[in-house]
Amino acid sequence: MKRTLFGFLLAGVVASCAAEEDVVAYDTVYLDISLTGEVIPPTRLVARVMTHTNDGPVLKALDIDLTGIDIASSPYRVKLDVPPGSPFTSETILSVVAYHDDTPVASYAARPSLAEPGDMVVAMVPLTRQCDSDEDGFANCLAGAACCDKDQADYAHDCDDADPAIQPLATNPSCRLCDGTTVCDEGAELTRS
Amino acid sequence: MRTLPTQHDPNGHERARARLAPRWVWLGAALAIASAPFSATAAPPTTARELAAAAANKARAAEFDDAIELYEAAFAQDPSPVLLLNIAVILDRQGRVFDAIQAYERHLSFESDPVGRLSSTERLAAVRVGAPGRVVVTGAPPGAEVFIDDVRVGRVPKATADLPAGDHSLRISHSGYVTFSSTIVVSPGVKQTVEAALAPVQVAAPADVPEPVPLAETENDDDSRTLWIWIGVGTAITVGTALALGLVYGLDDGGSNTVAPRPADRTWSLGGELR
Repeated sequence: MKRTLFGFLLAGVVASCAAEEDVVAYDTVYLDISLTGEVIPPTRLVARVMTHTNDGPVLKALDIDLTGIDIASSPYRVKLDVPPGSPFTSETILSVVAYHDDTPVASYAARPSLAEPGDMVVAMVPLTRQCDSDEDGFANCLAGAACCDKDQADYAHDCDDADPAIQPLATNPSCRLCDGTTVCDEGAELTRS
Repeated sequence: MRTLPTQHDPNGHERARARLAPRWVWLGAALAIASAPFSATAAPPTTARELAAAAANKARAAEFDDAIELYEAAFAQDPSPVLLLNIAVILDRQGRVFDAIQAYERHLSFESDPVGRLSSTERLAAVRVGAPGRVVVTGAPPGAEVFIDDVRVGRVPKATADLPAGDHSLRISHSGYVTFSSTIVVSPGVKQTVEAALAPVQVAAPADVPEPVPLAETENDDDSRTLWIWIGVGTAITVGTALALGLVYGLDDGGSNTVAPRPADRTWSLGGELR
């Protein structure tokens, strides 16, 4: 027992003294929002996070005016203030949509862990009418590889690109279940025909 | 520099995609079935895909029991969690509260995709709100009468009652046995089982005078005391070392090996009022 105690103590001291290199002192998550590909210069960004609590889904949005800002040349950096106990420290969907006036021109979606501080690369993919025919800002990943990041189809894909009410951040759960088996209409969500 | 998982490097997304891939097969199947005229001479469904499509048709026609049976058959062939979600939704729509709760919980036990889990969890919460609770009284002796709020609900072991959430009085009685009375707390959507064990009525016998119990001998605590001393010494040394390291590396900026992250263009608070 005595040897075990001293062993733990020694290991702790050695581990504490071993790290000498510079480390970034992150206390929260930073989003580096950028564009990939040819995109009409966006005039604003809308970032949204959504998670679930016992009281239902909660959504927070941030509207960013990009007047005079060129995010194609350098990423726009957003510091997230995620206080302890925030529901967004659990499973969260993050969506960022870039608009030129009111038309979505690029988007990004992911399911990040906002509880782990650090940099997060938010590289938005161009949206076209082919990718987002209902112009709700969410791409139909079946429309082509250029519409989505390959992983986006898993959790933030627009399974009905003809109906803007159906999208991954809809507050009605029936409207964001992109598995092709439910429909959004109230009271008729059994199957999609 | 530490980097969080991105779209190009998400945690576990490969697994999720691999599991979700069949869902698009389901969607394709559903669309194909719906777009083609349904032939009366079509062969009975045999594959999981055909069974799921047939179940969807039955659900649309409000033939819910058949739909559930077909979804179960499809699930037996291909355990896709969304099939279980459809079963739960059907039971929910039928007002079969306890069956629906059980089905949602079954779906959650199979579903790992967060979006699917979110949907099921929300529906489950909605079913539970305002739902009655179920009390089942089993145990012994068989035939004992069960009263809840002074209303007879049956006999052990088949006494079952659906009750509004809250406190209720429970009484179980049988001739020759001591009546049992208690208060039970019923939660919405929760099934609880009360195990009755009535004690037979007995004529009091002369009480045995218990022999005095000798006091336990005091154990030799030397080993235990020594252990606690070592634990105390170890803790003190560890805390002292941690404080010293904190002074060296944490409080003295000159000796710190950390650098601040690049400044942000904007701060976004995810606390406070939610909407």
